[in-house]
Amino acid sequence: MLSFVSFEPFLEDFYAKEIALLIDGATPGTNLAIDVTELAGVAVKNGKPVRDMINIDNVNNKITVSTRLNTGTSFVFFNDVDVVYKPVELPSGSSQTSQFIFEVKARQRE
Amino acid sequence: MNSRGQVLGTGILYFVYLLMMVMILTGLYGGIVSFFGEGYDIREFETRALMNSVKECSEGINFARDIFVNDSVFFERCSIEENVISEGDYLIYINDSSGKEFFEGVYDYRIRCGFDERNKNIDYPKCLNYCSGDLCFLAASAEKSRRVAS
Repeated sequence: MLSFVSFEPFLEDFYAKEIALLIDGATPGTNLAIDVTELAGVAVKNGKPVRDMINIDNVNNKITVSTRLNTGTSFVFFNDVDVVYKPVELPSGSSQTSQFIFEVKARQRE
Repeated sequence: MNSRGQVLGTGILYFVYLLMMVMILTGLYGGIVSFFGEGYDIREFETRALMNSVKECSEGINFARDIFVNDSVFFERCSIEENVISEGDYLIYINDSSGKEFFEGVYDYRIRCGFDERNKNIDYPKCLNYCSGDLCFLAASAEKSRRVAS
């Protein structure tokens, strides 16, 4: 019965919004890390490379979280900043966890 | 004895049939809810973050004078991405006692902020009001996540 219920959309939605909230509340120069161990576990189960799980588009201010092949969930952040991040690695933060580490920087204007 | 056994057997079969139906329907319902469900509701937190950003930058010098003259000045001063507010489900609304207004986003949220429906329906915004000196601010958010190909 449980195999018919998919929790990936909930997880992706949750993490996309949480990361957006962190970015919206941060000032340039802030370094942040969020535990994504649960997300990484689901991605591994679905064959999604953990490195490609979280993507931040600084041009459109969009965060995309994906634990499944070919689909994901995106959410926007309104803070006018650029976000620099390292792809998630297994493990990171500690031997039992995976972390998404990112830095909020002042927007680079051309 | 034979007839009692038949009744018992039929009863067990009916029970198993009903149990299977309950399991299948529960799985279908859970699958539909998880795919089309509303997701995690952060409207209130997002509105609060937006209002904090606006409040902080409103404490700057000549804020009121500048924002009513040129819209883009507000976004540069407050470090808020204009396209996200104008194209998303947000509202930033500022007015003063003389009736001058500045707004960006969904203007109709000024009305929808008063609806009780907003507590149950994520299509309605959550809103925050704040007044300081001559200026009153309203921030609202009903932004939703989107499913994308990746």
